[in-house]
Amino acid sequence: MYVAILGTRKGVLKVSFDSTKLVNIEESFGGSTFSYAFQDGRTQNIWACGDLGHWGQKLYVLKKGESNWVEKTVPKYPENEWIKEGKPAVMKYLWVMVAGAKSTPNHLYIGTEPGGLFESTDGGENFFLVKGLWDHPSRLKDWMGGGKDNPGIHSIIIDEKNPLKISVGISCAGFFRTIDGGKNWRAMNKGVTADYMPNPNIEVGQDTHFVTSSPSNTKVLWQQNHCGIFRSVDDGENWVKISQINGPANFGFPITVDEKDENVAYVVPLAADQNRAPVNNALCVSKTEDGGKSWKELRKGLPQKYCYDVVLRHGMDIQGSALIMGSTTGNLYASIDAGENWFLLSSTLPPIYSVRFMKE
Amino acid sequence: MVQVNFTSHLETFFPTLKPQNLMVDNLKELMEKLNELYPGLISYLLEDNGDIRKHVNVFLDGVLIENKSNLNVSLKEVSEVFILQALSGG
Repeated sequence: MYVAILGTRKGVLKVSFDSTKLVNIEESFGGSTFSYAFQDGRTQNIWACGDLGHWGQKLYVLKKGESNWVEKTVPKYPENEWIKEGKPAVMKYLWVMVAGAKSTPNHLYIGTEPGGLFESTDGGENFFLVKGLWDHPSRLKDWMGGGKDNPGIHSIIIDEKNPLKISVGISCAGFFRTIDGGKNWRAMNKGVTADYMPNPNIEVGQDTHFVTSSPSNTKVLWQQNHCGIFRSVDDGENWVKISQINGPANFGFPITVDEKDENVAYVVPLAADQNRAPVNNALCVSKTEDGGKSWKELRKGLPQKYCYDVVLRHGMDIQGSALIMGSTTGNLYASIDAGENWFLLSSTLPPIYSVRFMKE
Repeated sequence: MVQVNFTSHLETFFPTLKPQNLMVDNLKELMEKLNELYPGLISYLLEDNGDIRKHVNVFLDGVLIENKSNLNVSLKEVSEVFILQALSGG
């Protein structure tokens, strides 16, 4: 049995499925929007980031073995912090949340709009703004909103061997890293191009859609960007464009890496930034097995006409040879053979923002 | 004494929420008092900077508060405060 936790337009859904079909969906917070939900692998607690519209941003935890969610204090921007001059920083959106390293068992991180990274060192009771990144000299002049009004942090990579090393992806600013626990940060975008800018080779201002590292070799990084797919084999020092020439793997949001092979990754291509729908309205997952030198299209079981599925940056996950992806049109697909064959778990779900495998 | 009534939607998050009769001088005091009774409720009603949230509407004897940045509104002549949200969309 596979289990995944989903953040959706209408609540948090815990989805169970076996090798052929949906088994059960358990709903929490029905009717409320949740931007992200995940299980902390260290504690097996489940965290959910609420975007409750009228009532603002909220944070909940369901501790292992318990049946009731508990609301926690949502991260707050300190007074006198500014998005831009004259525009006070207030919490707009909790975009992603990750657990710290096993050696720092009480650390948790949340990436937010308008561009703040928040850290907890007490198991999520309190979060504070990581000032080193917020005060980076590029923020006020070079960070900007992409699809949102303000810059936002959607990707956070924790180094399991060195908890002082944290990397983030920011839309729109690019890829940044600290190696001293958050005091100092460096933009690392060499080789990434912002084709929409007058100068595509700017150091900061890149539209990283999602960035992740290879579990089997954390120095190999993958990035789905607004302007293509990029990979780094030297821990982010240099990026190489690996988009497919004359094929669909180019524009999109998620990128998912095989747990054991640093050369294997999956993306869910869309036609173009001005046409965010599958290429020719036929859904495919593109897979590379050679580090992006070539791509193959995986289509078996996926709709090949009249399709408008958009899988957002947190909408796909991997567990061994199992893959799961959910779209903004409420379709949830799974594969248990590394993407060769897909089956539809449900076509009647709300818009899906995040999909993460979890353990019961 | 002012009576405070709430949208039932808030009961999703505060299941014990009930109308309240409070002795308060102004809206700011009312919000603080409500947060004492229902810890965390204020974060549902106000932004981090203290403004009334954009889609939260507060009515004083049936009149909508237009200026969401000013909570120093006297309640001495007010008998009912009604708090609701502007639901929209699908």
